[in-house]
Amino acid sequence: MKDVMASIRYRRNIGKMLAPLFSLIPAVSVGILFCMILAPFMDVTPLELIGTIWKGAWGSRDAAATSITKATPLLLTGLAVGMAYHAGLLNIGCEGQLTLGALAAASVAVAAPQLPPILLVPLTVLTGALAGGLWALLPVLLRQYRGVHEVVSTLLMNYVAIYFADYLVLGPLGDGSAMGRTPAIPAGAVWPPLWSFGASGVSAAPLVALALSLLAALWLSGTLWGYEVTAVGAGTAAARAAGIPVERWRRRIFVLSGALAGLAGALEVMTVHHRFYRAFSPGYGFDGITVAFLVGNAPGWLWLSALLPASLRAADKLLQLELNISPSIVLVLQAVLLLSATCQARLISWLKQLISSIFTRKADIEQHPRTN
Amino acid sequence: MATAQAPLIFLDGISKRFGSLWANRDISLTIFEGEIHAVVGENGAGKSTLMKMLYGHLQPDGGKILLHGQPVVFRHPREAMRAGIGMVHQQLLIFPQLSALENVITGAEDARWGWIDRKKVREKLLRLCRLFEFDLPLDAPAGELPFAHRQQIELLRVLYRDAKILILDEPTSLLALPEISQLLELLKSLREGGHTIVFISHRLREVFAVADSISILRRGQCTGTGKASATTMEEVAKAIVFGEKMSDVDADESGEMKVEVKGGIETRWSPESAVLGAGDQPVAPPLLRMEAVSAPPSEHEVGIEGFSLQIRQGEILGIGGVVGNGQRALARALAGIMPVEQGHILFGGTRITHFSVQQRVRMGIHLLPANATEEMLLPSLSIWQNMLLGRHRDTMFQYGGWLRKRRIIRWVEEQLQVNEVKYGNVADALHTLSGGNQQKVALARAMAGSPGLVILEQPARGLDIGAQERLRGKVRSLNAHGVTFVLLSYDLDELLSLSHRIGVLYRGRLMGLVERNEAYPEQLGRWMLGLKE
Repeated sequence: MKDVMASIRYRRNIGKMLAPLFSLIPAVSVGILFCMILAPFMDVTPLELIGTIWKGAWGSRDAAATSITKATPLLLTGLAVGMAYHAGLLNIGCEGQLTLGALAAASVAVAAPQLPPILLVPLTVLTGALAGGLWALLPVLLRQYRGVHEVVSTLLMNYVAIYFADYLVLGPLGDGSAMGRTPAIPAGAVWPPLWSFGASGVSAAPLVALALSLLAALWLSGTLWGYEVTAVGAGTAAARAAGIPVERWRRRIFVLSGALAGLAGALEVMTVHHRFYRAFSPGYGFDGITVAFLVGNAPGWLWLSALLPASLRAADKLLQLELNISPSIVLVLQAVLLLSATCQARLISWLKQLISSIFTRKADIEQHPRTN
Repeated sequence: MATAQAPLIFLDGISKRFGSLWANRDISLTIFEGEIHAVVGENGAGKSTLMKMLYGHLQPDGGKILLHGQPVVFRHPREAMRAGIGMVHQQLLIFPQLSALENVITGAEDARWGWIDRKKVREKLLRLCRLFEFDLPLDAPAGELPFAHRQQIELLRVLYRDAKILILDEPTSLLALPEISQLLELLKSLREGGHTIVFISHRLREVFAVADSISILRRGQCTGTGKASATTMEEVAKAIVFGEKMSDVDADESGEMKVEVKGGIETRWSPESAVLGAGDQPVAPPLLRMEAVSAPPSEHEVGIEGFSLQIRQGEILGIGGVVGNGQRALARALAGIMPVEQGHILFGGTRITHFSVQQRVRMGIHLLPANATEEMLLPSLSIWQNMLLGRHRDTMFQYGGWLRKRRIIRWVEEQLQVNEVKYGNVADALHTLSGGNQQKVALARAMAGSPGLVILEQPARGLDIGAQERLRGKVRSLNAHGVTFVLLSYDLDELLSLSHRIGVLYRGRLMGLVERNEAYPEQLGRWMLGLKE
């Protein structure tokens, strides 16, 4: 009986399970509000603006496929940021890790065209992840042995990675043209679309990313290792006093974080572009920060927050075509989302308090009659 | 009240709730000008919450605050400060990198043309220091100062701003004996100078030494208030501990508790009447041996050097000493948190000198540090996650790397119930609990299961009288079941009332070690000062 009661009481904390939505919903509301305020300045009505964004992102099967395809790398970089954050580290370097992951994956696939797909696909994927992971190892070692804050080192290493990749594709790894790109990867390394319609299609990559994020959520909440990582992120002194190897977990998780960003790059190469070229990432690495923060770094909800910037990105062409609005409006909107997601810690706690007081007031009065 | 004087502060029916918990419920309190008013009560009784509302940190959900008979609303501590109210917090708010002087003036800088007028500031501070006999080095970085000095910084901060009403939240909880009497003298001289003081404390002896009036809070309600001269310590202790609670405890159990509480207070007064007789001192083979162990200093405490000690199986070994004489290093070297530089530690015949914390926890060695919240708990995680910490690798709680949540929850709820922690849901974040209840969580964690050796570092700190007595009862009963304790405490009475043997630390060395029945407070006191004979 007591056992049953315990499990019921435990499960009843639905507020906590839905907490990530408390940060997502207000952020989106602020975003929409911002659209409505901004619209008149661009000579469109708010309804037109929001309607066009919706139409561009989800109005047709083509549009939906584009949104989902664009959400895939965002989900993975969001997961990368979120995992690092769970161990108490901030990975701002996904952009560089993704770039190097993509370049390494493309180069390996180009170098080994004769391998059968069953070997070539895993090899390509793993090389991408490995490159991203290794690129993340240096900042975390610098942090642990030299006290260099990872925010600074990862941020700066983005530029090192991007320009290093530029050099490589213009020189040793390029296809010989002045385009600054690698040769196309062999057909054996390409992930064909699972569903295709006309020019667009959706590969299995979104499913892989979704599965990884759900697995991460399960791992964090349900396993011993996940528990240790969560403890490290919540407080290093207490975690260390409990015998948890804080530094080791941070190294592992940070490398994992880089590997996820590298994987995002590898999947982009294998499903979308089929090669690496200069300025490969349109900011997927930085948007990962938005994606993670929008849902309070809860991996189980990343799919939802990844769809937001992806939808905006998918809609930008239509915005230009139909409303003649510069696509940079999308970047502005995204910045608004990130800002409101990060500023609202206070708002959330206030909201939670309000909701919990509404739910508990009645029961409370019954339990503790006022004794005067 | 006999006085015809109008009250300085009148709290009229103040209520405050956090979620489903009523922290304060319809509390009315009258504070007169120029008095020392003590607010006493158990952990989580709502003392700090009430004071935070008076200081503008929190807003009451109901009720009014009247100052000089006028209703006031403080929406921010700034506004309370402007009205002449200052607060010294339990957890001192210090900028460690700034100097003592800078810490005091931050937020109220005396400036001329936008530059801080250091000369003027220093003169004013020196005047205050002389007046109150503070020995604070004004230019030392605050982070390097001992606790008593940090507290002087906080007091100066309030006095510098010319506050006439001082709120002190548990000001003595981290002070050593001589420092406490200094502080109490200070409070008296502040009262002479026309200040009004509201003083939160668990230590009734201190309360009765200085307070003019006493108010008792219990479960968020004010259950009594009156002149200190018109009541006795015993009466107040009963009102704090029992209050209305008599009804929901078995008569049997509460009867037993009553005896303990009485005994406890008596032992605090006269250590000679301690409950332990000479007969129940176990003489057993050593459970743990430290052989010439050295451990490095930390923060502003000395380390230990060439430290040898034998802890007998089944004893309570008390270690006394003035704050900062190596207690931290000793506790952490035993628990495996701090590396041992030299020497060996043997536990039941096994050499554990370089064992990890995890390994020691598995062998049954647990540490309960003095500020458990910072060092052992994760306030942002849930209560159950905190209870699990350190035991999470137990096969009882995990299977092949997966946490057995249902079992964990059941175990956590049992432990919390046994230790009388007040909580809503084990999935709630730990920081939703009151400070005292957080400490109880740490305590419950260290004491759960069947530990072999528990190292208690100032365990009574921050606990109210009832909880202190329950803690002592718990230590005794676990000890009777074979658990060995090392009790590090600055409180001689506590050591004398619990320990079988008592040692004294002085500058990282053991000054002496005696059996309880051969221990004289005078001798221990001399040892604490480093005097051998």
